[in-house]
Amino acid sequence: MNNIKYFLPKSLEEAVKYLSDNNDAKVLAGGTDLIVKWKKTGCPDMHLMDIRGINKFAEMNDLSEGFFIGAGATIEQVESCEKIKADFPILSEAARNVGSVQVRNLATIGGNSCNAAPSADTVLPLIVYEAEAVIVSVSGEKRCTLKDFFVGPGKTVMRPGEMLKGFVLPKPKPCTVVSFAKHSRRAGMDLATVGVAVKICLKKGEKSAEEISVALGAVGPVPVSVKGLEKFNGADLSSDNVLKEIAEFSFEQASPITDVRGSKDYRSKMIVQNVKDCICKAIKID
Amino acid sequence: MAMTRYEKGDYKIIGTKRPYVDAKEKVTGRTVYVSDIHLPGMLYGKALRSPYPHAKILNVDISEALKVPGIKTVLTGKNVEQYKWGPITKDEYLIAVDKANYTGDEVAAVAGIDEEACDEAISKIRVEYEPLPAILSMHDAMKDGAPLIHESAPKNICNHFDIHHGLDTDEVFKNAYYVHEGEYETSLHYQGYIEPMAGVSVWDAHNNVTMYAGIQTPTWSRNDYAVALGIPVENLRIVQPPFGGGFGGKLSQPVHPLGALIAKYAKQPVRLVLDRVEDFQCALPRLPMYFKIKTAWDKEGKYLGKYTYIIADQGAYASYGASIALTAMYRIDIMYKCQALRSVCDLVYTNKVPTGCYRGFGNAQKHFAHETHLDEVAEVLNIAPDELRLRNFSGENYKNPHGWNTNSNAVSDCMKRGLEASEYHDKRKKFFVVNSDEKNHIKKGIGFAACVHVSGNRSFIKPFEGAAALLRMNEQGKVYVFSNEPDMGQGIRTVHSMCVQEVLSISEEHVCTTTPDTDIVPFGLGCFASRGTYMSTGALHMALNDMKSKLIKIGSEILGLPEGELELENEFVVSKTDPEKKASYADIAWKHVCDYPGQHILGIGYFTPEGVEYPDATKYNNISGGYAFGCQVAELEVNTKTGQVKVNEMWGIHDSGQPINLLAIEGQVHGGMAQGYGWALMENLAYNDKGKLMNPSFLDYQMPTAADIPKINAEFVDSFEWTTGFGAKSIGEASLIGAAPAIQNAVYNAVGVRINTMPITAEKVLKALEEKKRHQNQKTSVE
Ligand SMILES: Cc1cc2nc3c(=O)[nH]c(=O)nc-3n(C[C@H](O)[C@H](O)[C@H](O)COP(=O)(O)OP(=O)(O)OC[C@H]3O[C@@H](n4cnc5c(N)ncnc54)[C@H](O)[C@@H]3O)c2cc1C
Repeated sequence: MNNIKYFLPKSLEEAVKYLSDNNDAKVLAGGTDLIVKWKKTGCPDMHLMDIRGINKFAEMNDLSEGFFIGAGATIEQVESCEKIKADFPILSEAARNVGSVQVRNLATIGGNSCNAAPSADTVLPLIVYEAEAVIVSVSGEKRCTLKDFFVGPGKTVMRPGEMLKGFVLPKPKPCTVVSFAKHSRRAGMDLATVGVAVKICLKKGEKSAEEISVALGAVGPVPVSVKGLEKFNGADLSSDNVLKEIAEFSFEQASPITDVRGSKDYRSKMIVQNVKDCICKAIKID
Repeated sequence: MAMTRYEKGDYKIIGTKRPYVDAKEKVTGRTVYVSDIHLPGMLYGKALRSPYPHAKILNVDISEALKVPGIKTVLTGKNVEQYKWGPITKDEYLIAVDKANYTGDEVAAVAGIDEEACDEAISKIRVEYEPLPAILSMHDAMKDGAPLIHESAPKNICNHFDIHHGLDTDEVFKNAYYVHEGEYETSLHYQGYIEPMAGVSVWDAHNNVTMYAGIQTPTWSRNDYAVALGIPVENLRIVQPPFGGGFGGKLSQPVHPLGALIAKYAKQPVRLVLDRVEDFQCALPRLPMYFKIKTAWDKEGKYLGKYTYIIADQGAYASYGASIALTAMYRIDIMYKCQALRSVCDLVYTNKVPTGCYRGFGNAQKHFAHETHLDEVAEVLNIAPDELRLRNFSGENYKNPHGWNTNSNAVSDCMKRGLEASEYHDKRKKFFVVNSDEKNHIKKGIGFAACVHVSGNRSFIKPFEGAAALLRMNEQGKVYVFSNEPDMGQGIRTVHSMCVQEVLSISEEHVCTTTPDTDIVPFGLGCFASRGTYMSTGALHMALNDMKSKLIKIGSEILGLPEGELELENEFVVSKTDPEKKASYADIAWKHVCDYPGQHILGIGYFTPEGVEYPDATKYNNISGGYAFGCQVAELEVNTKTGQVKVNEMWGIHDSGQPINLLAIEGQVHGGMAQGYGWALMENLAYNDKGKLMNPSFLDYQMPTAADIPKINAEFVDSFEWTTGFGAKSIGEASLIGAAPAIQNAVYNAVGVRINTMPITAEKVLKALEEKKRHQNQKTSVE
């Protein structure tokens, strides 16, 4: 028989206390990764702490420094939140691309990051929006930019006793344009073969950038936040050559592999293609 | 003897749209499927499966497994009584004895009080294997030095067929204006029914076995299962409850008899239901096939000759491989008037999942190859693809060189209507202009395929062809229908109910269509080869007339009126001239049980398709009484930057004879085309070089979702098959087989490349486009 220990804390304080006392306890949010994996590994004994009893976890609200999204907000809540649609449109778009209606109703935005899959859809917009992960433990709160949150497949910077409280997203500058692409094999219920999020701060009235951010998914052991893009600041984005350079520069930082979703070769081409397409879409050039 | 020729009636119910008789139970979750069945004292069964694609089994140690609490029995190939079996070729044990032949092959089995106990016991069975080199591609199976999978099949060839009818093909090729050759290869396609392979078996003290099984062939499969279990056929009863889809996969298959074998040794009822991973690994998906097709043509596009070579990959065990291969070899020859036909096939074993029947049965594979091939020919001959087909289509009463003949045949109407409904010709012109714009990376295309399938395949089972039906009116006047042709979700119970309502003028509530129980229903063959409606409504037609005449006879006794003056209306026998004079079915039924103490009014019917005979040694003779035709069209766009194909709309226009339930038959077109779409663009069970299945889940084995499937337009041309009472032919399989070649032809129309090895993935399309570009660049640089 399965031996499952289960605890349902009612407050954040209770939760972090429990985690600190029980280092083997796993945080259970929507369970759409955790339970599926548990079944795949032959249903071993498990110690669960369910965070769905803590209302605070699902909160979303304005802070002075930006917008806060609680780790326990479901993907569906993120997708349909008016504030997110207005200020962080590609986060809503990425959320809409996760799994199916049933999955989105259960799955949480925190779980999508904490699971640390390279293909996680909502991670890419969070990275380009410069989200910070708010990590809590009995010793208090700390912050980590999301691009530095992932250390390996299934691994994050969080240590035993720590959990994710949510994300803080600074309000984008007025000049910001964004786009997102999930390249997959079918329209619904698929993981990305390649995922791309792009955020560009355009110079006023021009097609050149003050700042470019690109994040890539499903093309390496962790989601990739492309580094060194400052060198393209000021470049003319309406030039095909510039687009190609940015795309190839981004691709250099990816390490795609061959799996059932696609070959290394095809993935490589799709990184370049989707980065180019995303930039064009963001700045509205066909 | 002159053929009976049935005429179309003035139908009130037949041809209308009716929800399924069991729809309410299904959508409210009340239907009890096989996997919901729970019998007193029932145990769970589970198989241990080989981790190797090919390995000698040196030793199986079950001692630790037997100690697991709750475990009742642990079986190996050597501690049970079992016999080699198989529906056509007897090459398989229920539990492997000396050798495992694919990853997933059953090596041991357990029964226990719950799934957890079974899992634990399975994990404690120690098997010593000696891995052997494996054959993972059909192209390697016949090579010198290839490992041998079955002693009985040298060079791993299970069957070699060579069928040649009509004119000499060599001569025809020599003299033809044009000869075209092409190679095509299809993929390993999984049915994806919603309920995996499942059965619950009871083995009693007298060696009588009752199986509750999801099965398309309840009475016939008893013969196969009895062989595997070594019991007389009469000891085996199969009860077929509602089950979650078959699509061909659930004819005779190993899960049912294996469950019974476990029940025998456990001495308690046993439930054996595959989990989804097992079902991906071990059920019976569609055979992949390699085709080399060579055809001969005259200048005007007259189809002169065809030579086909096929390698068919049936996997580790034969199942229905031989019949499927034969279908691939020559089924399509009834659609085109080609007079020189030769087809050669090597049906080979490989160390992969055993394959079986899947909607289309070899004919789907052939349609992908052949309907692609015809478009290639049309281009070379500079004749439009529809014109080329029109010049060669068979028609009504056409007899082909294999001795097959059509009765009703509206294939030309299907194509004309399909092209008209989809605006094929206009779109081809329009798309040509749009696609010529270099800057445009979204290219549009439209393509179609013609299709033909049977309504029953006489070459499948030797003793007879046809069906029987039994009607019983109970003492309250309610009619029970007993038929061996089961409902697996395709809606045949509703079809039967509608026929009863039509002829007996009775309400749906007073018709009960039972599920098959082999202790009760007439003997028969079952639902496969798209035979269900054609055969069983043929039999029902006779049974209904039998019951109708009995009702009129008793009615005439009650009313004191001559039989000729009476008719049936709203559950009464009524005078045609004076509607006041009438006797209700309830009164008639009650009079009958009183006059003949307890005996119900019966209606007995059977049906043999006329002009159909078992093929001789050369495979000559007509195999079906109702060839069903169709034309399927796909309109799509291809993104030349990514290779992605997006199908925007599809059309399925069919000659299915007289539709009985229009709602169900439209649903069949939607479902069939959706499966054809998935097969064409995304589905393939993929093995790694260690012989392990890489994608045994719905995430990794991609089937299209509702979000992918475009709008599908289903239509039926006017047709009536005069050899069967209600004029119905078939749709089940015909609905799938045109979609893949239609998509292939549309992709070619959009971007000028063909992906002749399925599936047509974005990756392959992009590669082909790059190659095409390289080719063109080379050409221009040479010029
Ligand atoms: C059918 C299906 C389709 C899917 N499709 C997609 C898809 O298209 N795109 C995609 O990105 N994902 C997809 N997923 C994956 C999954 O749904 C997402 O990753 C989801 O966001 C996980 O959230 P959850 O709340 O269910 O996490 P859980 O399964 O509850 O948890 C996941 C992991 O994160 C940890 N965790 C969760 N919350 C916290 C927290 N607050 N603090 C610390 N640790 C925490 C858990 O301990 C666990 O290790 C799919 C899953 C399924 C089953």
